[in-house]
Amino acid sequence: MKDDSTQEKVVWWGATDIQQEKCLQLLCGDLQLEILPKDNEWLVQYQLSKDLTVFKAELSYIEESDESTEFENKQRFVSNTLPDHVILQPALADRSITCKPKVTVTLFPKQQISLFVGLPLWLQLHMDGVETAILDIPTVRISDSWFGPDTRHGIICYASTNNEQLDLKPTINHGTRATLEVSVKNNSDQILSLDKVSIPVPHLALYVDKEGKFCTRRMTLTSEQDENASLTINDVMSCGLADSDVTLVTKAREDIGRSKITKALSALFG
Amino acid sequence: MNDVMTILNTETLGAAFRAVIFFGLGFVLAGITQRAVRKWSIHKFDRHQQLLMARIAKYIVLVIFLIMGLKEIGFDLGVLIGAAGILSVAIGFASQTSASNIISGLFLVAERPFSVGDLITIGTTTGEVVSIDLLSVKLRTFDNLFVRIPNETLIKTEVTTLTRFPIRRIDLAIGVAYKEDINKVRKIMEEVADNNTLCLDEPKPVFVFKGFGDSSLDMQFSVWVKRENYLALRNSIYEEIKVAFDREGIEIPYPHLSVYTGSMTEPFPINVKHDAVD
Repeated sequence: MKDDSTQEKVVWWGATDIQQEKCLQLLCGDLQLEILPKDNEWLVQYQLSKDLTVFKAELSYIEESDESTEFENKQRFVSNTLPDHVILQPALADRSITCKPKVTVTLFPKQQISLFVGLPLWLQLHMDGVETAILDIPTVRISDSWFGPDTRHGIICYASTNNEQLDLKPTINHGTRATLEVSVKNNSDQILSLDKVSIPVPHLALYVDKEGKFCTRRMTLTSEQDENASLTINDVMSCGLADSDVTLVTKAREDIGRSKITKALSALFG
Repeated sequence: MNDVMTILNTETLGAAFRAVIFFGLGFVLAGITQRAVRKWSIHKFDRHQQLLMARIAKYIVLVIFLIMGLKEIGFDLGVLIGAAGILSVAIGFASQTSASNIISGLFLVAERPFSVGDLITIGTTTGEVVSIDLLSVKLRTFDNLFVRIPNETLIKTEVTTLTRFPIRRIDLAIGVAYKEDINKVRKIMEEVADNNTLCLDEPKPVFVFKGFGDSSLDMQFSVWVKRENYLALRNSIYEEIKVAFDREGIEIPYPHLSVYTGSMTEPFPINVKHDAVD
């Protein structure tokens, strides 16, 4: 049951107070997360349910967790001196995500297209004085997948769901996903068939615009001659947003190092 | 005479003392070298190579100090090598099995079919490789037993490395009643795989209709999984398929036998008689 004094925050991330006798609840995507402060400990419990699906994240204080809700995951964080607030940090996935267009896209030689992906958000919990996140979980139910030319060579990544599918027009941004514009260039003399694309999400930083919608910088995937492909994170934002319109929320998990990464064609395009 | 004995004793004792010092120093330095090589190689090589390099370094240091110690107490190395040559023939006959294991061990090191930490199956034994030694490979089974397998056996028999590749396939044997729609069954199983987040999206699950069994339509449904999640998926997906079949009214038959008196007749009629009981 929600308390009458429920406060809903438009910007749900950042430092959030932990109130004694109250349970902090976050609903975002498929995620239901609760933080219950107790004596010298926080009980953090969460579950991912396909029946939930909240398109606009909701942060609120509730009196008590509904006792009928049995959470799949529970964790206790114990300390003599617990801070009076927790930092909620949206982030992007910790592995690459495989995305598929709804219908296979064929790109002719020397042509370029832009595709749009709604990337799922991850949630990190941070505590003052603790360097790493105490919790780092997806906000959607997401399956694992394999991206590679065969079952011996490849990488484990996350599978796209309907919402992460590549689309030729910008996807609807519900506020629980981040929009990524993928520019695909075919510099080779061969036709490029886009059955699936591996998006190296850990290289992307997360930004938010003035309306609270998440986005990333544009990514360019180029198919070169000799079965090679390159990946570049562009300086421009996805969907043509100006740098002045966005704020950095979370840095990329992995620094790209150089501005351009060259890989085998099969490592980026399926 | 006493003086000679004193000098002799002093020299012999001195040499013996120096030899003991060399042996002791050798043991200490060998240990230090082993740890140092282990530390140096920890981020450069896999566990198997780390172990091997550390052991080789340890034995080299030990042998050097052993030779120095033996020289101190007057052993002629040439004689020692000559004796070793003669001995090796005798030892060769006496320790054919050990020699075979050592040579097999060298082949294993060169071929590297598995490393320390891998899960392997040899015959009926499955376990984690704890160490790969000169004579044998040591395994820890899932029920926490320590199994020693001679290297020669490993060279001769089939060894399956379960953790070689990051993903594995689970083949599920499913049987449904003859009345069921195969296409519907297939769709239900694909939906179950779709909804299970442990099941890999790619490579796609494979459905194989295996034929008409004695009591059921036999099929195989194969799903791919990250090797760490193998057991978790194997357990959960069978349960989910059973739940989905029950929900959709799909019958999983048990073995049964129908007996007919002729090709076109009704089954045997059964009459129940009530006999008087005294």
